[in-house]
Amino acid sequence: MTGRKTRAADFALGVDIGGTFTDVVVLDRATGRLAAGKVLTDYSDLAGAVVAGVRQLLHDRGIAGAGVKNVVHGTTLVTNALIQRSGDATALIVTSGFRDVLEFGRESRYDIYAIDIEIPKPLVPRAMVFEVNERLDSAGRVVEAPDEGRIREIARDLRRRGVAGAAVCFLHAYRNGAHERRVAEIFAREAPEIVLSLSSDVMPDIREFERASTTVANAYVQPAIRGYLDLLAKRLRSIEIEAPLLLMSSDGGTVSTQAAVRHPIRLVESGPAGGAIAASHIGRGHGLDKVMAYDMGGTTAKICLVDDGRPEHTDYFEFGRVDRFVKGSGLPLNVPALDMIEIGAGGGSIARVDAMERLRIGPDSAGASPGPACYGLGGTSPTVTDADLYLGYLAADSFLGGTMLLDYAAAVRAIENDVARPLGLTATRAAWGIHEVVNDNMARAAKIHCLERGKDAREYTLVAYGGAGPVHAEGIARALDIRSVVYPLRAGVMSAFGFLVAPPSFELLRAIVVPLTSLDYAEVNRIVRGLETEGRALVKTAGIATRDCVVRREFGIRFAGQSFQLSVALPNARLSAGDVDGVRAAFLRQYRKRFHRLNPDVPLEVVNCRVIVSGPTRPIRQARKTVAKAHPKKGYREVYLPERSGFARCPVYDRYALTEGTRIRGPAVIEEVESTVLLGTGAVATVARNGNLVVKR
Amino acid sequence: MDLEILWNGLLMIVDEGAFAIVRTSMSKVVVEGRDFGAMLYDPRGNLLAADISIASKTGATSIVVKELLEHFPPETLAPGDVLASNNPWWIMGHLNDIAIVCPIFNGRKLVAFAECIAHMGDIGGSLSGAPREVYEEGLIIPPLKIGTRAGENETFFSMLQANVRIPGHVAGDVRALIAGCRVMEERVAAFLERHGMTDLSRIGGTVLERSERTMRAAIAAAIPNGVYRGSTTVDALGEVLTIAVKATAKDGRLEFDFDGSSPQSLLGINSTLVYTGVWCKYITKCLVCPELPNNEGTFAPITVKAPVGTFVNPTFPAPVKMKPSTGHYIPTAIVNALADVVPDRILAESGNKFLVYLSGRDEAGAAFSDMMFVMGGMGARANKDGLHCMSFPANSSNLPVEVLEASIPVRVRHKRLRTDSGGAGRFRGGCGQEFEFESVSATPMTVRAEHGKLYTTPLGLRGGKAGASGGIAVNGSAVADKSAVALARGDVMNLQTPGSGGAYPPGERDPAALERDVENGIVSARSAGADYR
Repeated sequence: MTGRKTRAADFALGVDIGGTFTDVVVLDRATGRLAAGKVLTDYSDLAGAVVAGVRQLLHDRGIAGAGVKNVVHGTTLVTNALIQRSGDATALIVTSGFRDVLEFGRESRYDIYAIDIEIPKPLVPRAMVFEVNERLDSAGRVVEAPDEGRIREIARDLRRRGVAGAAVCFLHAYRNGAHERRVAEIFAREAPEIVLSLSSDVMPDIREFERASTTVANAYVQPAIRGYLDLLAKRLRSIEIEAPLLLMSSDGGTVSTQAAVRHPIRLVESGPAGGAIAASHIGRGHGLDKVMAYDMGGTTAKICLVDDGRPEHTDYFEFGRVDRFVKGSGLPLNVPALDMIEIGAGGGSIARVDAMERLRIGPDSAGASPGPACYGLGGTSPTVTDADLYLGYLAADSFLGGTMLLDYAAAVRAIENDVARPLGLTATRAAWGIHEVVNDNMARAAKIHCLERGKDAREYTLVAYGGAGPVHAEGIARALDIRSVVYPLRAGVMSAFGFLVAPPSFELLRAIVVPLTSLDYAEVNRIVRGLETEGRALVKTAGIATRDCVVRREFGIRFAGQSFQLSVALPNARLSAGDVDGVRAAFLRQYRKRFHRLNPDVPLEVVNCRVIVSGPTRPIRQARKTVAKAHPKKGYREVYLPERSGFARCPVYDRYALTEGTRIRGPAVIEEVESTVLLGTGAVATVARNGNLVVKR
Repeated sequence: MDLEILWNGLLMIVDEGAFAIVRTSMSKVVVEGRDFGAMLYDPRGNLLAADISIASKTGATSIVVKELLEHFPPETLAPGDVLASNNPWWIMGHLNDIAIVCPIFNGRKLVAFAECIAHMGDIGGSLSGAPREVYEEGLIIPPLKIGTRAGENETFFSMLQANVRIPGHVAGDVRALIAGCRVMEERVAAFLERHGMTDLSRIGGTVLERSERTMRAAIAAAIPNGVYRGSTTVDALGEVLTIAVKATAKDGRLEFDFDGSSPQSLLGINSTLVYTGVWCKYITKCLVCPELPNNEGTFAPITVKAPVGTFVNPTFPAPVKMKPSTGHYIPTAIVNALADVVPDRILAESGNKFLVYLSGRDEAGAAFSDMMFVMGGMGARANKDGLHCMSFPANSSNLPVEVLEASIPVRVRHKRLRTDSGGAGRFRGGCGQEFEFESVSATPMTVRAEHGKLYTTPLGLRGGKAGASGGIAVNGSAVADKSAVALARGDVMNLQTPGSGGAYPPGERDPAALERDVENGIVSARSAGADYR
């Protein structure tokens, strides 16, 4: 970095705690240069591992802690606390008569054929749910005032029991939070050490079970996340990083520590959200308006659709699924999140032959330990990685940059024993079968995901990352008739990179449920204004001045009687009768696009108001990739080509030695440290300025 | 090897058909309730694949394609033809389910049939619970060709629309089913082209043969050869009817014979033989091999028979509108028969659910009409407790209290688990619930609750005790089920859904589990002392 010494240092740090590794990236804002490091995640001391990884990377690059101007962090802490049930003892306070709201759930089975079905246990046992006499009607009008004596009694009782946090969820509190706030006032006097989560604050949406479940989860993880963030800030200061700490949220925005402590449940999917945000950023850089972000790791694959640079959002998420890949088998969280599907398909997914002599892959995974048979760590089941090695898509001596030697013979043994022999096939045919079936599983899930949203997969460009993504993108593109694929550089640290391009933002919602034609504009404008004020205040804690905020206002609208809605942007900050026709037209346009039809005679209903306050996105300068002097072609190896039903000698390239504008025609293999790009016959890859590979098939 | 991929391809065809229905349907029952199905058959009418990821219809055993082939032999069919029927004796047991069937050709060769069925929001007929013949229950659609490549048959659509209360929705839904078939037609063509095939006979044959072989092996492994008898009861407005079943297992085949069941009822709770078969096949799959796909091969080893004129095989023109009230108890009778031979997969009798219909006018005078489910308990299983408030065998969801109060003028006073309603046992039955609400409507509303056990109890298995039976009361006085009552403002309706049976003697219950139940109020201290000794 000679010749630049005079400018003030401006570095940004992205830190992603994943299941196996903690990834750290540092970005020089002035040059756009990016450097990455990895350390093993230490579950007994998450903050310690973060600081160790940061210190190492800064040291390697000669960067002083004081030069770091902001830190964005994503953590699995919230998810782990929910899955492992390691949160603090939590109580729930509800309207009298509705103690069993968590026990009931939606009274529905996620698997109709399983007699021995297990349903997820609520985070709060029935004995820790307390009732208070109080009642609102569905318009939020008071039917019965809260019994304050009873609230005081509960506060003292919880104090005696040593409860750390409590959730409050009263019926219709999404319309009026006054009764819940009264509980908070009384607790502040009677039991100030108990942290309360109010449903009217956490997620004021209609449907008491989902709201209670979300509020309880928030209360459950709050004490742990607060302790962790305090500790991490202290540790970062110890290496002279005084920059504000921001957290990655599930909806693809970042939030301040203060907002994260109040709404910890919003952090639940931070890592995957970072990856999808990075993919949309990359898509924008290549001028793409439809991107399918595709991440494949060791256990799962994730897919997120990005239209016009904006990843699809959802308000519904589940945690603690009894059956990880079955919708409905977990507990609901109503939090804004990126809309991703998770498929049980990863490098570690196990292949086996079922009772019907069909080849099945996953969803169970050999994980990192014992891992695929070729890891030589004791695994004997054939996995996707074993098949990829057999087929020449991976090489035994260049996996993870050659730092981990793979056992080819073990892979062959596993494939022969568990797949080839039972099906009476050659090992080659079996290995190709594993590769093809896992691709087919992912493609089918992706196609259903598109169909459900009224999208056509063929119109998208695949952006492939994660350790196994670049190996399988070719096959998925083939199965989905996708023509172009982008392979970003640094496929292994995409989430941490995404943290650095995500803008600070906060989304707030309030349910209303009223016909579009009988809106009370004064009331709606008051609600929207209230959400805006709250959102600006929260974004301000992330260091964003009010004048730099962008506010997006939306209505959730549906045909009356339906139970799902579409979001429609409001034309201006203060709504009046003149806006209704425009809002209706926008809804109908979207609805027709998604369902290819309308319900002509059914009136429209507004279900909720949503306000998203965002800070500016700081563009990252695209650094020209520096190139090592090495020759790009490393050699040749035998690679299985399906169109020949056999192996052929294919060139192997060193990705780091490729220069801008280089064109490579498939079949070929292009290796980098964390992954390998498989280029099919006839596909043409072009190296872009930033080092990304753009492939046309 | 390619089988998995080809098989997935067939499933993708039915999935896409199902999505087309969701995209084009008009009604809540279809779009939200997912009460429809998309299926692919071979040219002889054997089921090859049924959508299970989008649609909720599990009735992959309709015989409508085979029956329609009797009326429209293959040589009379041409590409673009659309056939229809709603015969309850062929499809899902009542007139509301309409089936659309389209032949699929590759060139001039008939290669498959697409079938799409859906529950119509209305099919005309009487609204009272008391029709005595199917004629009173709505419009009967005989085997008809309702469209050709040239377009739809306007006469049919005029007749249909003139006979139902929501003509736009019903006609729209029928067109959605046609759209579903059309999409499957396109996808079959693309599938054949992609895989270089001229027809589906090879893949179809393999799928059916593999499935049948696996099902036979699963039955043989689970159920030793022998004859097993069981029964259960069905409440029928003051009368108690019996479903009796004799299950005969022989080398991987299973026959269910319902000889000894009660005669057909004057009430519309009769279950046609096809619908009885739907539940026989469903529970067999649950008991022996839940992961098998729904196709003709999987169900081939199962035969179902019942004497003509019983309420599980009624004769035309018996009323059948409320067929779930009987059909949903058929799995219970079968489990009772097989409890001693498949002890590790049983469940005790379940409390099912109440269907509650509410209608009236709101303050602005606008009509409202809605239906909700209030679940009873699901019985204790072979090695775990039953589930609270979970409908078995048919699945559905509750209506959130907040959503109910926002759409219907009622105020729910409480919704809570019924302590002690789960039958005692080593494994306790799941509890039912008490759901109490008050009318806040200016004008009287009409409420009707049906379907649950009021006069009989859900029994325990292998030494477990029975769960509590259900109850319906208005202002404290008991009300019969299936009968409409008027609620004035301030009137209070109390619904107690049945619990479910326990499994194995209560004395064998783990003391820690019992203690936890008492602490959580699932079992009272009194019952813990009296019922668990």
